[in-house]
Amino acid sequence: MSSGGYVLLAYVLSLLLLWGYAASLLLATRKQRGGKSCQSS
Amino acid sequence: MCPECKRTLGYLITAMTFFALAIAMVLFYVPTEASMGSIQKIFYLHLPVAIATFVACLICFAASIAFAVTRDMKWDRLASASARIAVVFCSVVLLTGMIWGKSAWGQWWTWSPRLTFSLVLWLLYVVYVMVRASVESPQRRAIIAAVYGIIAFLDVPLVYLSVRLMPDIHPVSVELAGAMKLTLIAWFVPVFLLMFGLIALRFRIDQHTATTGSGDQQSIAAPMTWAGGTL
Repeated sequence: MSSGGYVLLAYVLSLLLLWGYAASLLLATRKQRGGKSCQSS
Repeated sequence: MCPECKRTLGYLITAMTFFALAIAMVLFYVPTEASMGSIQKIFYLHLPVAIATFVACLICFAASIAFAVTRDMKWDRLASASARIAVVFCSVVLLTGMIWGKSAWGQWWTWSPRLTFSLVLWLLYVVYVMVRASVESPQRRAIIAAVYGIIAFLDVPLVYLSVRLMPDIHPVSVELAGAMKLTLIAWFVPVFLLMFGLIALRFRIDQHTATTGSGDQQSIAAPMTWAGGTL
C-alpha cells in the first residue's frame, strides 16, 4: 500500500471510531428517553 | 425540538464543521513534508487525539480526587465518563500510531517505551471500565473506581516522559513550518470540541440513569459493550 493509502486508512478508521461512538451515545440518549420525540418528552 | 436537543445538535454540527475544515486543510492546504512524505499527514490527527486522551485522563484523575474528598456521586459519574472517552481516544492514538509505524518503520508494532506505555495506558482504562461494571454497589464501585482512577493516571507522565528519558524510535518533537502549524491548530479545535462534548453527553446519560433509576447500565446507558466492560 502507498503512504497515501495508509494516511487515508488512518483518517477513515479514526473518524469512523470517534463519530461512531458519538452516534452510539446519541442513540443511547434517545433510548433513555424511551424513543419519545423532544416535544412529547 | 427541546432546548437541550438543540444545544447538543448545534454543538455536534459545530464540531463536524471544524472537522470538515481540518480535513480540507490536510487535503488541499498543507504541503507534503520533505523527508517523511505524505505519511506525516497522520500527525495532524495523531497528536491532538493523544493530547485529548491525556486531558480526559486528567479529568478522570481530578474527578476521582474530588469524589474521594467530597463523596459526591456526581464526581464519580464525571470520572467514569472521562475514563470511557479516554479509552475511545486512546484507541485512535494506538490505531493511527500503528498505521504510521507500518508505513514509516515497516512494522505495525514495536515494543519501544512510548508505545508500550501507551498500550499500558489503554489497558489501564479498559480495566477501569471493566472494574466498574463488575461491582454491584454504587458506593463501593465509586470508592474502588476513585482509588483506581488516581493510580491509573500515573501512567500519563510515563507516556510523556518515556521518549525523553529512554532511547525510543518515536520522535521526541517535530519542527513545523507555518502552514503545518496552522493545520495542527485547526485539528486541535474539533478534537477537543468532540472530547468535551462526548464527556458531557456520557455524563448526562449516567446522571439521568442515576436520578430516574430507570434501566440498567448495561442495556440503556452503555451503547458499546465488550469483554464484560461497557463504554
